[in-house]
Amino acid sequence: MTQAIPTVHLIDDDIAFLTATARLFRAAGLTVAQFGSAQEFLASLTLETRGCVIADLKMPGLNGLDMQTALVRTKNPLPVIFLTGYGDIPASVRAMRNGAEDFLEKHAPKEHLLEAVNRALSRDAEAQERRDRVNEFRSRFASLSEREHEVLHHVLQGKLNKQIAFDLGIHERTVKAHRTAITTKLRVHSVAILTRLAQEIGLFG
Amino acid sequence: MNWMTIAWSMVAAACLTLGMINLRVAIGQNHPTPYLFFFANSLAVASLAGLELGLLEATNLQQYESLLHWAQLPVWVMVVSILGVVWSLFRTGRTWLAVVAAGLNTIALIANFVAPEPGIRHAVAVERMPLFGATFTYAKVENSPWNLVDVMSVAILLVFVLDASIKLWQKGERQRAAIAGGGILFFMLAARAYALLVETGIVHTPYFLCFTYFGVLIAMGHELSEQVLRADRLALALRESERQLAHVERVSTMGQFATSLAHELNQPLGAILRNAEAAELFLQSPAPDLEELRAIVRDIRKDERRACDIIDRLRSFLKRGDLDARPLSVGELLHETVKLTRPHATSRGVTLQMTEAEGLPLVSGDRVHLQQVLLNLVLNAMEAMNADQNNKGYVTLGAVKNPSGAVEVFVQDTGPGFSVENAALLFEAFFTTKRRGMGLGLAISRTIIEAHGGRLWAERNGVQRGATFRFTLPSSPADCLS
Repeated sequence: MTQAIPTVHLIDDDIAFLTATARLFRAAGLTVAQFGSAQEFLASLTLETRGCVIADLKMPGLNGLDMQTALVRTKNPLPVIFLTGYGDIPASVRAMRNGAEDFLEKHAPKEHLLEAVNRALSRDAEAQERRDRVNEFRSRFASLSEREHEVLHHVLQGKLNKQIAFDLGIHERTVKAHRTAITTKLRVHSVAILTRLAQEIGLFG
Repeated sequence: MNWMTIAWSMVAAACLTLGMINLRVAIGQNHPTPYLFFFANSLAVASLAGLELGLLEATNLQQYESLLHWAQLPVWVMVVSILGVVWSLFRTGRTWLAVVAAGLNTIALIANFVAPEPGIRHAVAVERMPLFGATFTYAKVENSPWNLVDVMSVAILLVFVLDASIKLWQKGERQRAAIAGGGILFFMLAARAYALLVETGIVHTPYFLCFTYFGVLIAMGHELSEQVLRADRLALALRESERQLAHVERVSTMGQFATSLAHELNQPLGAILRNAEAAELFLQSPAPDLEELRAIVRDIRKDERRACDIIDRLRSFLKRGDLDARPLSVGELLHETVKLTRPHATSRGVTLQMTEAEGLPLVSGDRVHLQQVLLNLVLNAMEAMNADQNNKGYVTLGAVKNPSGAVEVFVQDTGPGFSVENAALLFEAFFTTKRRGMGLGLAISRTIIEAHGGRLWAERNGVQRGATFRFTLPSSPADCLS
């Protein structure tokens, strides 16, 4: 899987403001993608898209909050920073509840803006890392055979080899062999870590 | 032709001129009564001047007698019309006094023509006499008992005028009472007293009646012209307050979407800030990209211009002023309106649409005032839909050329519309269905459109919901091409 470069996705219906803000981010060494409308941005969004979104709260067509709602429903909910021309308390409350990363005034100093962007970018990176890890484990778990899966299920319930052998009607030595195969395939040796990982990826409900 | 002929003819001409002027005023007036009385009075004085001139030139007793006989008719018209003018203009006189005076004079008039004697006054001897280089006919006149009725009617007239003037004075209108009332009294008394002196033979001169009656006419004319001037001043004050009201309404319209305008101003200002910050960062690098920096400076200038345009637009809109009609394009006007209201519409979730408005003739109008009407209609439309939350609204602006060649502008919404019973009230001042609002917007809009020679009205949308406001503007005469 090729990782896309973390990009600041700027959305504003005002071309002058869009260009100027994009310039600032580029000057700060960031990669920027510009969009004239929320629809345009959502159309460009893929699972590989990395980075964060900075959007004007009020835009013709799909406004900032509606865009955020749509974004949260996708499988790639990038962090969102809202820019607003004037303090709109009800809208900001709604945005933050919806998980907005930040809510800044249009005229906030660049330090605040860059700080917020960096925070958003690292949050996205963390989220991505976590997603990658989960995916990785999921594929490792997927490589287990059916019997190994059964054995793992019993192991996670804290049963001893003898009990497992009895339950499954197999020899205790066979259970041991399965356990070795499991630890090799999953590259995890402690039962405690196995339990946590299984929980994290939602194995066995 | 001697000086007498000239002087008396001039008085007659002056009377007729004044009379015609006041007749013209009466035609255009809501309250023509005093002007019509004045017109009658001026005709009477003019005919008196003619008759008097006849007396001066009379060659024998019979001729003199006949003219004197007929003079009673204009005298009657004069008395009645003076009563009429004072009664209808001062509105402070006792009506019964006027009726009695008029009645008595009518009796004297009838007696003059019906009684067996030659008249209520009759000449007994005539002789030619010199006066300032000319000669005139002087007659010794005797009065019949009926003359007493005539004298009494004039006396009552004087009482009536005096009484009305005093009351007017007490009401605080001292100037009117003194000039008009005092003038009428003075000249009437002078006329009658001098006539008495002539008739009793104490002085041997012409009557000079038409001159003194002309004085009465002037006193009344002064008052009437004062009325016309007052009406004019009132109209001027009304226009001024209308203009002030339109200004207040404009300011409050602005207030309605001040936040949207702040948003609009924020865009260029925000862009300037970001450009400046970007430039700062670029300049920190050892080899700054000059091309990029040039682009930044160019954009900063452009955005500064944009912010100024917004402020200019606001300022010209808020500026109060008279109607300054110039040829202008309705399409441009609509575009400007859309530009001004777009942020407001966006923040309210209303879709603002504009249909094609090209190929229309130019109209003659005041940009700011017409802008005010359009803004008012568009804001009303949005407000109407705000009252109706479940319905994401559309406001459509457009203009068409109607069959009569005028441009017809419309603003259509998909709001709740208006009820049949409200239809008649929409354009009434101080009628509003909004929680906040003075109810002046549509009333002022209609005044503005009518001042442009157009019409503003509202229609309920047929099958669809909502209302459509339409106004017409006559096409500009400067628009020769289309």
